[in-house]
Amino acid sequence: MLQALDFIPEPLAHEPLREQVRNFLLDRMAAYPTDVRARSWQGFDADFSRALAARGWVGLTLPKAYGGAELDAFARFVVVEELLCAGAPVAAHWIADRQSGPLILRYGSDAQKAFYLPRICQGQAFFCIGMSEPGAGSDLASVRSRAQRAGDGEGDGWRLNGQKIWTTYAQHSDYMIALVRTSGSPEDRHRGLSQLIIDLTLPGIDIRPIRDLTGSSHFAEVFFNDVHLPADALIGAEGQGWEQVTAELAFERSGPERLYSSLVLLDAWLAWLRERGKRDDAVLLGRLVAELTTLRGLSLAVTGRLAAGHSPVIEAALVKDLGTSFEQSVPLLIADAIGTDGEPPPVLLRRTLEYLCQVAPAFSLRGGTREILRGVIARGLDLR
Amino acid sequence: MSIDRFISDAFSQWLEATFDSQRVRAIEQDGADPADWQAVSDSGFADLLLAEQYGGAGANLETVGEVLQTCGACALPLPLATTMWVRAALAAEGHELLPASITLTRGQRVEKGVKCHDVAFAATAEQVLVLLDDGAWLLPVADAQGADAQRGTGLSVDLYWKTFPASALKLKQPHDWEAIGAALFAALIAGAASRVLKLSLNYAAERQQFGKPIARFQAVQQQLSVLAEEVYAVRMAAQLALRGNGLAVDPRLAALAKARASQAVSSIGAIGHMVHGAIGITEEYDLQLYTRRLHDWRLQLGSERYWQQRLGQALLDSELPVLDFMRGLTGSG
Ligand SMILES: Cc1cc2nc3c(=O)[nH]c(=O)nc-3n(C[C@H](O)[C@H](O)[C@H](O)COP(=O)(O)OP(=O)(O)OC[C@H]3O[C@@H](n4cnc5c(N)ncnc54)[C@H](O)[C@@H]3O)c2cc1C
Repeated sequence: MLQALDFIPEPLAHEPLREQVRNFLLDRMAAYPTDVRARSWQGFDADFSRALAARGWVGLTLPKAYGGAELDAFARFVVVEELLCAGAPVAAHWIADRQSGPLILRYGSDAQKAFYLPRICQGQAFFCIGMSEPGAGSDLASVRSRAQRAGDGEGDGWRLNGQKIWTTYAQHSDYMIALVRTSGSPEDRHRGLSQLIIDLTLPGIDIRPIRDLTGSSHFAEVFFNDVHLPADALIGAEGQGWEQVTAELAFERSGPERLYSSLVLLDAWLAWLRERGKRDDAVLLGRLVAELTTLRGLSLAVTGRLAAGHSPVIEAALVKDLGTSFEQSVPLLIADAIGTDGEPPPVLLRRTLEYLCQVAPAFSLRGGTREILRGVIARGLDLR
Repeated sequence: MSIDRFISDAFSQWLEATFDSQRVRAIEQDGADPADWQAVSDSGFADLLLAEQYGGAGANLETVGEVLQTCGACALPLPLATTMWVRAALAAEGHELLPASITLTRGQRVEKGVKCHDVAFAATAEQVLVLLDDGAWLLPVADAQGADAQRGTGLSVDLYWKTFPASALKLKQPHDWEAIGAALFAALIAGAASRVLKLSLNYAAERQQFGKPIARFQAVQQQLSVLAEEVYAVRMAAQLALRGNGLAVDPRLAALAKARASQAVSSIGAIGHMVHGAIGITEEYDLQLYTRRLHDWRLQLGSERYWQQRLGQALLDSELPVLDFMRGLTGSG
């Protein structure tokens, strides 16, 4: 059932952490123009991620025994918020930090934890998400990629065939955590699915970047042709893939990154208005900041539930849907304001706006579409 | 600071038992009976905000906010919210407290008198705190001419005092009453909105068409999910404004709360009625008690654009980037 989301202030204790991240970013981000910062968590820069990792800001919530900072969900909220609002290029470590690390911590064997988690925390292991396939988008349970035991014994490993698509930065990642069929057929739906950790350097893997409508290639197709995987590629239990992927999606959806995709634009527009002492657009500014502050309050409340050890799947879906609707509305509303302004915008502001108007439709696709999330909420309301 | 559940639960039990929807309808049609306000006075809930040294409960604003949401969720047709605040202010200024119900509105001096437009709860309030250019004045409703003749189907009434009443009392403490009022109406909207959601969920589960409950249709489910999102947003916005101890409300947070709450009214009303079909349009069915109030409260003390403008100007003047402005508003704890 959908639980109430009551306001919780961000903990004072993380203020110094916020300051440290902010100072680091002031330095590192100075050279990044607005339209590059607008890429937000689509910007890939391995060196940047490693520099963050060197300061202990990757794998923040992972145990110290594995090289993590063992901080709570609020600490991650603070760091993520600072990174996103600065438009830092975080894509390289983003998925490992947000979901692969926590997934391995929850379901991995001791050996898997000991191998992957320290590497994640050091920025030495970048992960991508292998869920979608050409025939399996929203209907994720219909995946067809298949891994079969390579021999008769448990220790013989797996032979993998199939294809993933829309895999964000597969071309630059070290590992993919893939949802594949290990028994039965697509008609068995949720049964017979498992998750595998795939080393993307193995023979038989072909990764082809896909260009998006702005000309950049952040996602890719990944083909598996008789890829031989060791037995310990399996994470969690065989046949438990569906439960695990659901837990993974809860990690994916409950962070604050579903509010801020257009923040760089909002700040840039605000700065341009201030520069000229222009006050005609106060109504729109007020609307956007009222919506965003409210969303931030909801996101903090979800973080509070995470920190208390709950898995706020439905609440996270609610905040994500509301948040992505907001993020999508920002470029469209600002475009109208700029188109009515009377003065042409500075070139960087214009480029930022153009970019966001073009990519904004993706905000409510990635991580589960709007319609699917509303279905999750409806289930939480006992409607289905 | 957190919600005192003991108080808020006791209040909702008391309110639901005392003012059910039939009583609400009766008050709306025939006006309040003196016994109605007497019941509120006797309950002690009008003194929730009053400091303990004056015999009140000295509750925090989180708790009061929860209580106000319950008022909205029960469509309470009495001005309990504003009464709580004005009583607390009167006590702090050393005035004797009389058991009167008090509403709040903006007003204008005209010639020798005062004119107020669209006063919420005017039909049931005994006094009005009128926000005039020269301060906040407490005026007796009995001395006013209600412009009831021009009243349509709304819930609010225009009031006109031909001459400024001799008994008028000016509040001395410089509270931002407009901000306080905005935060209160946001909480009332949050409460009424949550009731619209509840009614809609129940109705969708009960009403059968095409051989199954309409809740089974995806088009209906998706709209109800949107309704839930808006209700969650409005509740959060109201909670942001009503925090801490004392009477004061941060005017920027009040602007935020009223802007967000008023903005949500249109879609909350529309989806609630969509789900209900024709029955929702009837007098007999309760939905109208809440949606009519939502539309009234949306406009009280200014609709969304008014408050968006105020908040937007505060943002512009702050010289801060958006994140820092937001963090300054919500604070840390
Ligand atoms: C920028 C970007 C990055 C991505 N990165 C990754 C990644 O790293 N890894 C990964 O695995 N995937 C990734 N994806 C894929 C993403 O998860 C899918 O796009 C998404 O799940 C939807 O699948 P689809 O695109 O096949 O659309 P479809 O499922 O074909 O849906 C098309 C439309 O039909 C609607 N629809 C479908 N089913 C229903 C239903 N039952 N009821 C109502 N409406 C329905 C959808 O809501 C949508 O509007 C990414 C996508 C984008 C845009």
